[in-house]
Amino acid sequence: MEHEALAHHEEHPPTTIRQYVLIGVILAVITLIELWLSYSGLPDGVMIAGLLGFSAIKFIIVVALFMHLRFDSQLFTRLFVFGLALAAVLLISLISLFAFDHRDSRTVTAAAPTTPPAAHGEAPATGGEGEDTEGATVRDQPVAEFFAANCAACHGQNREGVVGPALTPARLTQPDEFYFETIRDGRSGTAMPPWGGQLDEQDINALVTFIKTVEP
Amino acid sequence: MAAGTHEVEHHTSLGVDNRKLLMWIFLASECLFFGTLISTYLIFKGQSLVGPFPEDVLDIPLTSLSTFVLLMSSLTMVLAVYGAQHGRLGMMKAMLLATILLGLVFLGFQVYEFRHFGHLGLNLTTNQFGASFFVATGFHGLHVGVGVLYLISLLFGSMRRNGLGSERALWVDTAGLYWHFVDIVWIVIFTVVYLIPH
Repeated sequence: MEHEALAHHEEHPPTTIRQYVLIGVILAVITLIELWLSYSGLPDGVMIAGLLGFSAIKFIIVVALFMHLRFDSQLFTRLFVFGLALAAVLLISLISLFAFDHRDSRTVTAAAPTTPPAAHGEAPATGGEGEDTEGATVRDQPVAEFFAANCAACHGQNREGVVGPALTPARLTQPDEFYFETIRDGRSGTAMPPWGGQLDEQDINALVTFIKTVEP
Repeated sequence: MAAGTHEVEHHTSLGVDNRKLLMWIFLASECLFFGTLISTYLIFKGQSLVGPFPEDVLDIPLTSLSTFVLLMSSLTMVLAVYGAQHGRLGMMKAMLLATILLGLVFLGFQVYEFRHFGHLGLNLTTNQFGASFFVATGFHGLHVGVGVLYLISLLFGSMRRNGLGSERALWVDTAGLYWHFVDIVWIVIFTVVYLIPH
């Protein structure tokens, strides 16, 4: 057992064992509160704010006391905060770049050349013809033909999925609106282009009904 | 191992030990690394066209347990640092061992979770959720694994005749910084991936 003469001329954090254990208990309790919050059924906004707040508190406690930044050289704090700030800027810029971008021009040029660019303004008088999918049309083409010409390159001739995911009734478990919006607005971060400029509502609905109900 | 052990202390123009400085610079850069992975997860959130979706596979109570395990490993780690700083070597070794074991338990949970998700049909290429989830949590798990090896090397070192030498406190402290960082990354991932509603 060596109780060396280290103790007094080294800058230890002044925390005692009892205090460390107490901090550990506090962290565990905060985690329990977070768990409760996530099941509490509070409105999403309140819940998310609470969760982010509590995890920020835990984060700060660990960094300040367990990593003893509070008692250590200011230089370390500045370095770490600089790294964190850069990460925050990165997070905010990436999210604003992608999350609010429903019309990513790159994906349009990359994946949409199969669509005839003409006839953009033509009256989409195709609707109302057939409620049953067999007779439904998209831009005056039977749905299946339209799909084969415009969608199959990525989703497969039998909708088995290639670059894009498989589009078969068994796999498409989300509500219709989800697929409607996907076709209309595209999917940012993927090769799926927005079709809202070329297809009207009835066209898109016909496509959604087709992929969700007709077996390939 | 007697008094006078601190003659070897490094003197640097910054007034801080350069090895500890290195660790803090490394951790600052790691903020960007995990920041990128978490941003990617958030960007892909809700973008998956096909299942399994997060709400189909994530098991929050189970992950809360593994989160608790990792949190407790931070406590044992800080006690190991305390032992090293105050010359209580028995405590230091016991707490290092406890930290290693808790880290391994956490990894066990993660292996179980990944395999379970695999059985449910979710893997790296299934959808955007799978891709961003496995990359973010997988890299975190990798960090825990590296941390476990790091601590094992310290534990073995401490069992040599000279122990960890006169700079024992610094070595354990620096390892502790890494370990706690891995813990705070998990605090963020647990909140963003598991707790915030999908």
